[in-house]
Amino acid sequence: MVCWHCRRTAVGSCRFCGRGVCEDHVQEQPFVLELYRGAGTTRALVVEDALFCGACTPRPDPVDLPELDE
Amino acid sequence: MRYLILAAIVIAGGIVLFDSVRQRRAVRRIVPVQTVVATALGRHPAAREGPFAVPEAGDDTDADLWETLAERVDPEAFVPLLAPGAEVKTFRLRWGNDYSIAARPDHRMHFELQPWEAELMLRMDGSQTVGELIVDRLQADGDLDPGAVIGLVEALRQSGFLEPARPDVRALVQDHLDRASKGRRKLREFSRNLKIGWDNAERLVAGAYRAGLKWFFRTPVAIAGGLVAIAGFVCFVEVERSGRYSLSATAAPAETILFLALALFLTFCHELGHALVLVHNKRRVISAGFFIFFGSPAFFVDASDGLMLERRHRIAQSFAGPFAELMLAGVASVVMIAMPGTTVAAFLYRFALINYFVIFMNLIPLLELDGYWIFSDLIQVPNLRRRSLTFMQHDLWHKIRTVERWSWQEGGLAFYGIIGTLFTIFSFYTAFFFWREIFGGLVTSLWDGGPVSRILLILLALAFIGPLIRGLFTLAKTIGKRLGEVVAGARFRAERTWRVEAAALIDALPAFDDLDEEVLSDLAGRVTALTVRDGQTVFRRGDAADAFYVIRSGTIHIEDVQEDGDVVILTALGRRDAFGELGLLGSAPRAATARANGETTLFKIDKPTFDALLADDIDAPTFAPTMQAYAELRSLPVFRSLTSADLALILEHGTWLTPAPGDELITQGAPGDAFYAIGAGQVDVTRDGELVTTLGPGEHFGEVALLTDAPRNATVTAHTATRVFRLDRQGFIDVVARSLPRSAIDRSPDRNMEH
Repeated sequence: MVCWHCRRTAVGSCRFCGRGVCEDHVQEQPFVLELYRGAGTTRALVVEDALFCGACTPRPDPVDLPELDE
Repeated sequence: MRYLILAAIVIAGGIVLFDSVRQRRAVRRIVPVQTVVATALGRHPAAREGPFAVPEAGDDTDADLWETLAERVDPEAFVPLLAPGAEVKTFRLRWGNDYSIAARPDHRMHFELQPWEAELMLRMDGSQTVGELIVDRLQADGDLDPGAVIGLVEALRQSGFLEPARPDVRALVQDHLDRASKGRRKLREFSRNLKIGWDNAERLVAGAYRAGLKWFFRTPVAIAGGLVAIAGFVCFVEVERSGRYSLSATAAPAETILFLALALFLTFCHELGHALVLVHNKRRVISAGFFIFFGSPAFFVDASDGLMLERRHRIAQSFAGPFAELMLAGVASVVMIAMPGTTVAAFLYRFALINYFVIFMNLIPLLELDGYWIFSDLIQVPNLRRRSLTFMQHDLWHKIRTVERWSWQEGGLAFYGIIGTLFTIFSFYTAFFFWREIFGGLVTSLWDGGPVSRILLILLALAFIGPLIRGLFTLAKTIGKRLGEVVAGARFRAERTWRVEAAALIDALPAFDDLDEEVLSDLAGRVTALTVRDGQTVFRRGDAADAFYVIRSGTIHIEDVQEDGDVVILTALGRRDAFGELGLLGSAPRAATARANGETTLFKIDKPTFDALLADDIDAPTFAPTMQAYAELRSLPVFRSLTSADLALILEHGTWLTPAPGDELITQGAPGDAFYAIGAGQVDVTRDGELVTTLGPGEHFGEVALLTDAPRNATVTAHTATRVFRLDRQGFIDVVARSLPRSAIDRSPDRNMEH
């Protein structure tokens, strides 16, 4: 796999979109790994420094999908 | 007194240490990651009403979820609705440099906008999609610039200007990953920038206003205050002329502390003056706090909301601080002259002298202090300091070197920038002078007080000069960078021979007209040389195209692979030949593979270099017909803001038409599916057989079809032999979709009243 930005060999892939990134172009961003309910509140397991390519746009805000409600 | 100070420092240190220990314990007790992401994800009012309303699933169980999701995140389909607390105001200035401010004081947000952006913002009433707003702007200004509109909408959305407010999950996670307590964060902030803020300052100010300070906004009281200030200043000048007192550095520590407290009280009154004008004019005090400014302890008020005041009120707000100080310094001077020869009078002399000096510094319009804002509002030139510093940084040296003619405006910016820089240096010196005079006694006392107090003095100094040390590190980094540039320059000079050769080879390419010397010189600086070994590829078929190459020595084979897997050499290129030129067209991947046949040396010209230097000089028919198409499209005002990649999309979805006189382009009542821009000739617009208008080159029609299938409301016929560009709806949608990732912007102006 090659880096999305420079076509050199990638060292990892973006946690958000899967693009390949090399050492020069890799960025970091927190990633919500898992959410669970506990003690009356929702908690998140977070990877503090997940790889991020800087090319995709993980939305900072949630999107409603009531179609999935039962 | 010395021991009292030491005790205070020890107690403060203990509090910090205790907080740190408590925090570490807390971290051990809790689950490492706790967030309120849940709140963000589930319980927001965004759900089922307003512009985000979504249809219930109902019986349509076959609905394509991915399609629905794509629609939901489609920036063009987003319907922006201004939040109730959002305000927009446009300020008309004498020189035509109008600007607008969008405010959301409850969110501490103030954006400086272009007037067209403000007008667009006011139309965000939940009735139009972003796509419709883009077309609105196209109709109003003749500029199809989806990136600008989407950028504005995204910035407003992320800053809480739009309804319904959506939580920023990323920011929430980052906030909760920071384990420091609120107090610790404030301490950390203070240790970084020697600034600590308080968010509830407005209540204090409003209370003081109601408790009696509102009387200062009555004319008689204001005049009385002015008279006190004038009388005090006259008294001070009289005492100063007599030479009776002096600013001594040998004051006792107790006197220094008292003096410091009085000086802080004075700056507190100064900031209170600013804040009171805000409250009086029904604006918000965003925050207030304490910081170290040019080495001097001071208070500040975040008066960003003052940006929404009318010009004369802004001037009054800026002047209110110095006016409060003038009154208090005036009272001190009157008391001083009434008690001649006493210790109190000598103390008040020092107090008044320092404060008149601070007032003077405040009113000089060369630092971003009150005098600057007053001056800036008086001459109606916002951002004067920033503009002048930008001019100094980027244009001044070039102007001097090339002996270009100066405009009045450039002269003014240079003059202001130079004087401002000199005055900044002077301010640093006076800050040092202030510290030495006022705290010299205290520092000497601690230094002479034994090893413990000496260590504490060093720690205290480190805490206060931390930002200075960081500044020195930054300076060292800047110098390092500069040295790197010098080394790069030396290397460049060593590479001069082959760079000149590269420029000459490019100049000799048939694709280019005669390139002028300046372009060649710049080109020589940007071109890179690379050596490719025998059999190594320069690029492969399907690779993204981002550069073109000129062969310096050796041979390159351009190859293609047949369906049966055989490799066919399409052509062999040698010295002075160029290849890979499609890379300059923006979007097409490589159509063939380029491979070295024997060791080959190449000159590489990347796309940014091409766009900057060669695009205008290229002989399009020789090089690539598409270049001409780009240039032709960009010559239409409606497409002038688009990037090459956008134009590629437009070309993909559009086509040039050449109707003869009398040919119908649009028929009234027919469904609309395309937009037209006129390159040459004229068209008649008729409705129900009546001529409505005639449109000419650069104008456009049919834009409503970019949004809906609504029937055409008029017929458009070619009046003369005409050349028009026809863009279908999909092309418009694709350009809008491309614009979203490029839309991050930073607009917040910063206007703190800091002293």
